[in-house]
Amino acid sequence: MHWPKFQQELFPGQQPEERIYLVLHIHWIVLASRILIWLMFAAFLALGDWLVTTYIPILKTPPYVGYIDLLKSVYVMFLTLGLLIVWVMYYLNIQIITNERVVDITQRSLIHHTISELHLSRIEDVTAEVSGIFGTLLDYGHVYVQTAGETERFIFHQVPNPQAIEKLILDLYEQLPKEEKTKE
Amino acid sequence: MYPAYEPSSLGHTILALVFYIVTAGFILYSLVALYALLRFGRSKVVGILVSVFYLIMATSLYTAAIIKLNAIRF
Repeated sequence: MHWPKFQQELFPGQQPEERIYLVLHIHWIVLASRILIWLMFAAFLALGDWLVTTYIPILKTPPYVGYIDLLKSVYVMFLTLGLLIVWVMYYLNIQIITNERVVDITQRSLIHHTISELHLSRIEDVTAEVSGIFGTLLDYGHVYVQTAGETERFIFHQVPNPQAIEKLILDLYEQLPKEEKTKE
Repeated sequence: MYPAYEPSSLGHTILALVFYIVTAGFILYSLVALYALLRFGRSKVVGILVSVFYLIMATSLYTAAIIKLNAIRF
């Protein structure tokens, strides 16, 4: 059983002397687009109310009005839960860049939590990718980190300022002692 | 306190049963979301504040739904 601690490290295995350079979430526009979808569901409530009032006014009279009110209450309960889940998923998905490693904390669903980490010395290649109109205008995209000897890439999805992140990772790699870097 | 549930007919009992099953799903999902937030969240203070705010909201909405359920007469 795990009880919340008030003083806790940012990720498991964090060293006391480890310096954190960047903590990343997805770009705010991605969160905004998810909230927009949520708002569309919220708008169904007003739309449904308007449709009932305009086309089926009998549903606004007893005994039907009771069922409609109950349905609306339950719908609002699940809407609130939906908003909580959108925010929790945003809040729990983070990427951390320290002077020693890159950590990717992914919450795929409420009960699927994964933490991957990659030591800077194992990095072979870093690529920033910005695509699409919104990505170009608002400067967000993906960052791919290729590791030595691994076929799978480390991917930061839809993060803000991908070129700066790419540069930061490469700069941190360059600052490593020569004997720690991947042998080519 | 909201009024205690008093079934008035078989139809109302079935309606209440469906309502409570749906509500149980809502409560279960809410608790899983709050647990994930408190378990994996970076800031426990933010986690607790959001949890308390959500619990107040959810309790209010649940109470409103119970009142609506009890207002239905067969």
